[in-house]
Amino acid sequence: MIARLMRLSLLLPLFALLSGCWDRIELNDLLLVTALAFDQEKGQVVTTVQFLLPRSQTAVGGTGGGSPAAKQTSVRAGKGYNVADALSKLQRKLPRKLFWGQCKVFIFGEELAKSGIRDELDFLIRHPQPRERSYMFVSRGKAADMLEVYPPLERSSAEVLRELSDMRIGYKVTLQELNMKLKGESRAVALPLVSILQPNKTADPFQTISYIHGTAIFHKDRKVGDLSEKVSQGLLWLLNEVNEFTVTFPIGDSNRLVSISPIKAKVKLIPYIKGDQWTMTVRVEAQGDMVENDSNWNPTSEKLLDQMDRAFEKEVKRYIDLAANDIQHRLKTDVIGFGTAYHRKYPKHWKQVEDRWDEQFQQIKVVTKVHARILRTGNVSNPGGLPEEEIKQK
Amino acid sequence: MLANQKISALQMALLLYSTVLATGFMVLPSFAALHASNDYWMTGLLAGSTGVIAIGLAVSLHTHFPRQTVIEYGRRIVGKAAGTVIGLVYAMILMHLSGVILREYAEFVKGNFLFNTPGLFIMISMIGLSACAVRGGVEVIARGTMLFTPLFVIPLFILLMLIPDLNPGNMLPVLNHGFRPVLQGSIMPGAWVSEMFLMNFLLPSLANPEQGRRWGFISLTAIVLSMTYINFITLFLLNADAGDKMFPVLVAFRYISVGGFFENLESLLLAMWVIGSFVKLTVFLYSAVVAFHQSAGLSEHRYVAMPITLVVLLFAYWDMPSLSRLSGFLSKMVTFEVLVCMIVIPLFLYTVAKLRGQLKEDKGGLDG
Repeated sequence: MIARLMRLSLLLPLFALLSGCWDRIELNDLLLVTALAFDQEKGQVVTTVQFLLPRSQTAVGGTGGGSPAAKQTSVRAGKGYNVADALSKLQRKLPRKLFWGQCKVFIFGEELAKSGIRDELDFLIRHPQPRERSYMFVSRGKAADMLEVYPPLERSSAEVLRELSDMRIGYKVTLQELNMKLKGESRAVALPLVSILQPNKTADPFQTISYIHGTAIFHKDRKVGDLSEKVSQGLLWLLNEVNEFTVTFPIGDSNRLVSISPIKAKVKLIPYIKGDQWTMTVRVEAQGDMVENDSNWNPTSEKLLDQMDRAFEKEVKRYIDLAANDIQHRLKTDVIGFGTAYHRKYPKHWKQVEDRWDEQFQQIKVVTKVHARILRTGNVSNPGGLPEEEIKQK
Repeated sequence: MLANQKISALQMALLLYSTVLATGFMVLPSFAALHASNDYWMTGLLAGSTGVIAIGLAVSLHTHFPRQTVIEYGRRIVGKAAGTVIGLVYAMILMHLSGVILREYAEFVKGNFLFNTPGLFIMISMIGLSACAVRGGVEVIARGTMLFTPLFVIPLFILLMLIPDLNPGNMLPVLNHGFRPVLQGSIMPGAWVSEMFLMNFLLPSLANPEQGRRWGFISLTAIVLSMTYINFITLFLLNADAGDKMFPVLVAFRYISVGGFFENLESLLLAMWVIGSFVKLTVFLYSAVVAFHQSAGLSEHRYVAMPITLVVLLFAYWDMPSLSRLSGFLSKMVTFEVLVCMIVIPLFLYTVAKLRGQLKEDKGGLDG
């Protein structure tokens, strides 16, 4: 019996290994990184980390009336020849070890984006710690500034960006997608562009958020231009990323507005080649519910609803054509995935144009075919607040 | 010794499943995609053919030389001296392959999870356990596998949570570069599947040997289906970029995110990897031990288990200087070694036996 217990006790040292062998690490030795920003400064890279301050240190904030919430994050930056070098220098200024498991936001500064993001991308995709599902952004101005704002609602500005992307009103690109798109057929990608929201009048100057506003267009690994907020919406249609949108459009001669929300849409790119003419048909199926009707039309009238549907279609088409035109002829960069669509359907033709795709891309004729329907008219039939006689019934 | 312990055909099937797939899941999609680009999902199906040959050879040789391993009937077929040489070749190659498996195991754990832990320690803790299991005999290994296989298989279904991120369009254009790259990409998976021939070391211990063939093929079907499933998931998620990843399945597990809180699931993959590698390593180590003790004509396999373990550890520790050397090694040398050991030598033995008329009444096997 004793001998058996002795033998069992030999197993006890195994418990020492449960905490991860040599990789045992205490939570209070870790620095939880929430976001990482890359900037360029005199040919060197500045990497700025945003990290969470442990709760116990933030809870001591004063209780005086109107005092802002205590900051829950802080930032620190390191400068080096490349990302790894900069991070190693940054680590020297931090008493805790950088931990990446919760880091889901990476932001490239404008200047860096213009000179190329390939080096940074290689680090992110190669290092075993950054996660392939992290969201990628480009900032207007310095990326580090996006991390040095303290949102009133969420814990960190990184969290705000992530939540905004997840709401699917905006557009998101993960690290893995970015890598695949830059290696893909057209070697181009569109990344969401973030800037700082003007703080409220009563708020502290840094008590605000960074939010998504527009799109940055990359050709190879360089930023070649921006899309405005409006064109970005059209881009979302082309990328089939439309969800929970609101579309507002004028109807009839009075040009009064009608709004449809949320929109559900399916967008298909159908490539076609006839002789030398490459045509891309963008086929859109969209539907949604009416949430506002400023006109005097009664949407329960079949004839009027039909006209409203047509106006809805026209608006969607306008969005798409605007974006397609801007991307094709101003930026000349295929971020819409036309290349992929042609490669998949016409692999032989693709081989011929592969090397000069950027030129070919500009010559593609885009035909937009929209079929849109208003599914429901909300809780009332007649326009609200209008007497019977002013309502147009048919 | 060997005959004293009995396992069932089902247990054999489970052993073989983990043996082929444990490392197969992790490295094969990447190597196959390197050659076959976005057509690599076919490689799993093509690779099945070497499995059919391997099972056919193992089973038909075993029917004619019942209760014998390849080492024993090798001697009966080509004579004592040549047979012993073949046996030692087997022992050598199997020890070497065990070493490679052990190193692969440790590389993955060290490179992605335990950055600071010495690789040697990771290896010793695994091979130590394997050695104990091998000393315990085939029954211990089989029972362990019965317990472990569900833990190895269930995490695979968690990959289905990726469905919203999958893009089946990545399959197109199909066979854009012709069929040749697909064949090239199938060589390595084919070598992996040919490891089914290791069943010849298990067949003599079967309580129901007549079921061996059937369960061998059931296991093979499960392997091909699982391989194709993994290939599809990684293809739909990563497209041809899978060829660029060291471990595409790791990326797939890391990519899972459900509802914003069901994330960081790669630890599941680690659990699966530890279990799968344990079974694979143990089966290889057991085969190496049996091969050695039978060719050396020893009475008890337990006595050579520990020394061989030490040799395996040396192979694992000293043979490969780096991970990139290891992956080059896997795609060239190991593929060759495995195919020689699992297909070429058995096929040679089968042909000689046939020519010498040792296979009089062919009751199944290759063509049955």
